[in-house]
Amino acid sequence: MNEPARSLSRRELISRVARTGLKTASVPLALKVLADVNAAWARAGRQVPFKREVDLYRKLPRNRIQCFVCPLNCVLAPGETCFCRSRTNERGTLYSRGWAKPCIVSIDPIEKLPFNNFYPGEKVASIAVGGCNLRCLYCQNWEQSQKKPDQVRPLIDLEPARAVESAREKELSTIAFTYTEPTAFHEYAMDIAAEARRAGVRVVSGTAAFVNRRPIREACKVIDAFAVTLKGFDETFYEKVCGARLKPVLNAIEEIRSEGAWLELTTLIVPTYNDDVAKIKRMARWIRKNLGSTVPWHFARFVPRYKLKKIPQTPVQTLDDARKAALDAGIEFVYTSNIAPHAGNHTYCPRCKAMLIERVGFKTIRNRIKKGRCPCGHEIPGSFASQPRKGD
Amino acid sequence: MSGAALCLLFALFAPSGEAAETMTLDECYREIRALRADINLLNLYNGLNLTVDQVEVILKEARSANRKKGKDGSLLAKEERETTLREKELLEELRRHLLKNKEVPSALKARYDNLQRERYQAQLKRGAAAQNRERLAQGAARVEALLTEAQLEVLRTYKPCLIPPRDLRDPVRVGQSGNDSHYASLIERIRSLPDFAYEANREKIIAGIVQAAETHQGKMDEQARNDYEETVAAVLDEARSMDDAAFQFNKQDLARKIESEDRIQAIKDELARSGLARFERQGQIAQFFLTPRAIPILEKRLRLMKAFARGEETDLDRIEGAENCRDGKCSIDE
Repeated sequence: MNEPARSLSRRELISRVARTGLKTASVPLALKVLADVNAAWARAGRQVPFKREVDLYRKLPRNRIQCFVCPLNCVLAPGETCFCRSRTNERGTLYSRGWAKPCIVSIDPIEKLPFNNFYPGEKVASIAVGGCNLRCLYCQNWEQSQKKPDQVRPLIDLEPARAVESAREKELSTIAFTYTEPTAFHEYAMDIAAEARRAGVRVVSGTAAFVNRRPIREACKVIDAFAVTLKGFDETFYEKVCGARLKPVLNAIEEIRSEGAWLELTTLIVPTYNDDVAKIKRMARWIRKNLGSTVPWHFARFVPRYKLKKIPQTPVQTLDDARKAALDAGIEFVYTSNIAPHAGNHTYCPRCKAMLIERVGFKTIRNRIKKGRCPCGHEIPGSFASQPRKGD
Repeated sequence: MSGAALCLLFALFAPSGEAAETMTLDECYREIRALRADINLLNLYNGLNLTVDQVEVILKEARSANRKKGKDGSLLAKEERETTLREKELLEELRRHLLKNKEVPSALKARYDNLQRERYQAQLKRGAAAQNRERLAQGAARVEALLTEAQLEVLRTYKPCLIPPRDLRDPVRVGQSGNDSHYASLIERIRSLPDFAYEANREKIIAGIVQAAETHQGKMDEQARNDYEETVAAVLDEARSMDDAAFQFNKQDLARKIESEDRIQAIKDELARSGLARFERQGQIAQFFLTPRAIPILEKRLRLMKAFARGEETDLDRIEGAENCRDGKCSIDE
C-alpha cells in the first residue's frame, strides 16, 4: 500500500539534502582513508603494492584507454587486460600488474642471455615477471610467459631498490631482465634500471624487441646492453609462429643501435620453419647494412617445447650452415648456442682468426682478450672486464 | 632406479613378450648391464656432438683395436681357460676359510700370488700384454688428437649415467629458466613448508638429507655425519629465516653448503693435478671409444648422420598459427 504523499517543509528538505550529500561524499572519503591506511600498513610491513600505473597510455572516452608500450597499441575497456596479460584497465587507469612481483630471481652467467662480447664470464642477477606480448609456438619459458604475472609461482616481493641492493650484496655488477619479455614489465624494468644506474650497477635486457620506439628509446637511456631475438625474417613467420610483426622489431633494433647501447642478436633455428639458408643470408645482409658487421649474432639450437613438440632438435649441420652463411656474408662474430661443445661457442679474432675466448656452452675455459684487444692488436668490439662501461 | 625395478621394466616393455618371459633373472640382469653400458656410451656421444669425420675415424680405431685384440684372444684362449678355472678353485677355497672365520693359510695366499704372477709372466712372454697396451695407447692417442679441447673437457668431467645431467645431453639453453641444482630446489621446497609442519618434521627432514648423501657418496664416520647434520640444520633454518628476495639470491650458495663432496671427482682432480691426467684421459678414451660396444653404436650413429637431409620447408600458411592480435582485438579478458 502506498503512503499518502506529504509535502516537505523547507527545513526538512535542507536537512535531507545535506544528509544525502554527506553520505555520497563520505564513500570516496572513506575509501581514500582506507587506501591510505592500507598503504601505510603496507609500507610498515614492507609489503609491496602489486601494481603501478603505466606511463605510456592515453585515456579515451567512457573509461577506455589505449596502451602505447608495444606495437599492438591495445585499446581496453574497463576490466580488460592487454595482450601481454600484464596491463589492466581499472576504471580508466592503466596499471602494470607485475610491478615488483617477479616470478624468477636467479644468478646466471651473462652468456645465457646470450651476450658473448659484453663482459664475458660475468654473473648477472636475472629477474623475470610473468607475461609476454608474443605467442611464440616454441616458447622456452611458456610456463611463466604465457600467464598473467599473478598466476605464476613463486611471486617474490622485490621492489626496485631492493633488487639493486640484493645484486650489490651478492657482488653482482649487472642486473638482467630475461626469461620472459621485459616489454611486458616495462615499468618495473625501467624503475629497476633507473635505480641501478644511480647505484652504478649495469643493466642488460634479453628481449624480442616487439616494442614501440618511445619506450625503447627511454630504455636505452638506462639499459647498457640488449640481447635481441630476431626470430625470423619475414612477416608470415612472425605472424604465424610468434603472433607478432617483423617491421616494429627491426625498427626497435635499429633504434637500439643508433642510441649506442650494446646489441647482440639471436636467432633460434627451428627445422623447416626458419632454417632456409637463403633467408639467413638475407638477414645477414640486412644486419650488415643496417647495424654493421660487428654486431654479434647467435644461432641457437631449437629444442622441442610448448606447441612445437613434434619438431626435432635442430641438426648440428643446419646450425653450421647458418653460421657459415652469416660469416660468409661478413658478420664478424657468429656464435652457435644451445649446443656444447661446438666450434661456434668460441670468440675468434676477425683479423687473425685466433681463438680469443674458448667456451664450452656458457663456461669460459680461456680468455685471451687483453684490454679489449686480440694479442694481434685488433680491437674486439664489446665490453670486457678491464674496460670502463658505458656511462662511466 | 634399482636393478630389480629396471629388470621389471625391461620385462614389461621388452619388444618380444615371449622372450622376456623365458628369460632367467640372470639373463635379465646381464641384459640390463649391457643396456646400461650402451646408454652410458650414448649419453657421452650425444654430449660430445661428434662430427661425421670424427665418428668415421673413431669407428676405424675401435674396429682396429678390437680386431687385434681378437687375434691375440684366440691364441690366449686355451691357457686362459685353465688359469681361470684354477683361480675359481682357489677363490672357493678362500671363501670356505673365511666362512669358518679362520685365518687364511699362508700357503693359499702364496698359491694365489703364484697364479697371478704366472698369468702375467705368460702374457709378458708372448708380449701380448705390452702389445695390447701399446696398441690401445696408440689408438687412444689418435682419438685424443681428433677431439677438440672442448670435447676433451666434456670427456674429463663425464660421469657415466643413465639420465644425463642438464649440461651434457640437454645443455641449459639460452634464455631458458630453471637451472636450480637439486639441493637448491630441495631447500626451496622445505622453505615453503608452514612453520608447524617444519617444526614437527625437522629432524626427519635432516635425517633424510643425510641418508641421501650417504647413499650417493658413501657412509660417513660419526664425526663427519654429526658435522654434516649440523650444517644441514643451519642451512635449512637460515633459508627459512630469509625473506623471499634474499633467499632467491642466496639459494645456490646455501645449496653448495650442503652438497656432499663428490669423492670420485675429487680423485680425478687429484690425478689431473699430479700429472697423470694424460694416462687418465687415454684410459677414458679406450674405455669409451675403443670398447667393442662402441662399434655397433657408432655404426648406427654414422648411418643416421649421413642419412640426414634437410627437411622440406613448412608451409606456414597451413599450420595452426600462434594466437594473434588482429583487427584491433588485442585485449584479453581472462
